[in-house]
Amino acid sequence: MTDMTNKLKLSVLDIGPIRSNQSASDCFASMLELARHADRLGFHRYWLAEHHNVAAVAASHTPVFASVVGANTKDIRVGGCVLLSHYPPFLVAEQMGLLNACFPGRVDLGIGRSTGADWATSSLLRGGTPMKNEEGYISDLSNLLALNQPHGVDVDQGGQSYSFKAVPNASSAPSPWILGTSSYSAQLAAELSLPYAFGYHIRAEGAKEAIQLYKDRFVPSAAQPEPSVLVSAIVVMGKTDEEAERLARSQLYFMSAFRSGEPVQPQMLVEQSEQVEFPERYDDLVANFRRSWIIGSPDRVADGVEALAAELGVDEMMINPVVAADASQASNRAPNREFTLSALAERFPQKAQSFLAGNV
Amino acid sequence: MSKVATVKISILEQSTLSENGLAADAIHNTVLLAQEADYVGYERLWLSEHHNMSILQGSSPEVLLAALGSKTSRIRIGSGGVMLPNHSALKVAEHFRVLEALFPGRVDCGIGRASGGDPYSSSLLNPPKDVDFAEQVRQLDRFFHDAYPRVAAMPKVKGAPPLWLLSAGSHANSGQMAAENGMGLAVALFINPAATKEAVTAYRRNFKPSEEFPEPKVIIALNVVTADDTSKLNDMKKASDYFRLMRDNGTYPTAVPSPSSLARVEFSRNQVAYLDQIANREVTGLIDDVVGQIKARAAAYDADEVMLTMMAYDIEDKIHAFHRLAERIVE
Repeated sequence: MTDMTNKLKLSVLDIGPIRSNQSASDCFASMLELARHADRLGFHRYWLAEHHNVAAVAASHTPVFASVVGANTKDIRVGGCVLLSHYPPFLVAEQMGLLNACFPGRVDLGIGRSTGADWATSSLLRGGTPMKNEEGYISDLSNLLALNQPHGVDVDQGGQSYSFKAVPNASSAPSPWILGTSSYSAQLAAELSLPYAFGYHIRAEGAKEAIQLYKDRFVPSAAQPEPSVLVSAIVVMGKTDEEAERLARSQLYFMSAFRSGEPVQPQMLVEQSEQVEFPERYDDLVANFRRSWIIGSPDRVADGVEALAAELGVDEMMINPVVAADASQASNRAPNREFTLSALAERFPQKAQSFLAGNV
Repeated sequence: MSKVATVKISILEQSTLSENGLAADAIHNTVLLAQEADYVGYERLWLSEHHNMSILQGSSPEVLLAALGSKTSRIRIGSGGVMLPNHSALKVAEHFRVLEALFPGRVDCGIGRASGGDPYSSSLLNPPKDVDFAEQVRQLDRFFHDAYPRVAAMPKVKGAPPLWLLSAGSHANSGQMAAENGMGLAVALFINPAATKEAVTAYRRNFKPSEEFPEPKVIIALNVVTADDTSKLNDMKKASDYFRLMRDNGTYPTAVPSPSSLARVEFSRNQVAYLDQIANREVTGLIDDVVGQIKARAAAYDADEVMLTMMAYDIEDKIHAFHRLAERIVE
């Protein structure tokens, strides 16, 4: 094994794919089983994504579902994406702070800027308040980071200073991360001296440049002396390369429709995906997905994960395993997603390493 | 059997911070209490929403409910309540649908119109501009029933969490909105000792059935102070009274003081007289005595259920007291 293999950290990103034969309850049950599985295998983090009003994905409010994940796991870090565009910073600080009070020292607060929703949904989530402009967003971000600290902020009101806390008497805080897919977010994370998560599963172009920019411009701080980066990637694993190709169809179709702005349904089972024709208008998208997704047998995927980490110069890969299920599989489990994590953990052992490195 | 004999009991939990305690302790205590309540047969456990308040640590009911649901198996769990004017109705609907999908048929959505904190906190919580509470309630109800145009609160779930209106019950028409919308009514006697039975009567009379509530349902929420022996009872009574006196004076204490800290506190004659005036907010006494009082209160207010809240320094005392009450009341 190479050095890389020994020190590559693995984490999970779950967008909560809903299959056509799953109820929301089934989907959540399968997500929780995946989280427990990742925890047992020694994966580092189990992060959730945030989407709204999309029939094919179940992960919407990270603090709420992460609370269930925390209650069902032991060591794995919990949390994930919170889209600050939708929420006031105080609310986010309260929710994530309460989560951290539930599971002290295990919580990651990934702060993202996109809306993850259509215009009407986003507006409703904001309670009808206007969309934040860049200035407003940056101000909210700095307020969130201040409120996220256990000592809170001191507010001046009528000449009197009073202490304002999201979680009074907190003994620790969620670890903030900047999420992004561009040089803008890389620069922001570097200036704020925060860890940076690059959403390669969303946008692969420019990843290398953004990560390099982050490292070059990183401003060290007491809390974060060194830059820290993770990269999320979509993984489709089969027992063979051929099987992986079959399993990829449903996800390719769903993502093509989603990115085309077309209405999406819960994701197809493998059998269903074999029956559909891909319209020509998806060709470019599919070709593009194939360039950045890691598709293949366990060995091929492991090589792909390792190569991508090396190319981008990162030591933590966040695996986003696709739905890949057929009708014979229990609707409240996701056997192929579990298999994907097992096969990767076999090739990049996690347990000893997280023990030695401390769970940070 | 008469209604009095079959009254249901439940718990309102506020995740109080004890003197020298940490947030994580307060939250962990809530988990322990929920597990006990689940085991001994309480009907439901609700969590309150307070902000920037050290003594009442529960700020985001939905987040903690998700953990409680995972740690319990039968008890109903809910908010008591989400302070709706602080929030987007869509966000609340999505939160509760996630909970409903995770714990089907066990989730209640209790909503109130107070702030749960100081005005400054509320201003930071994204109150939608010009909030119309009635409109928010209608929105929430539509999201729960997939009846909102264009936008669906995900994930879609079969059942809707029952909506409960939290009310101070100050006027005969306090429960009007609950009656018109086919919601449950929860009257907060522990906040407003002057709550009247007229509010309940009017609610029952004007009630329009809904899918979740074919019949009207009334909860009264009381403060409870109880223990096995007089000495413990006196300690708990003092902690409870101290909190209430400070609160009504506009200064919430930062934590529930220990009995030894409270030993240094003497209430003035005026304070004692004030506590007498507001005695209707609670039931106090040794276990057997309190059991009788709870049933009598349910009858006096024509309530289906009594929800109890307790201020205690030591979580063991609180869990023990709730255990003993359940032994005597739950059938």
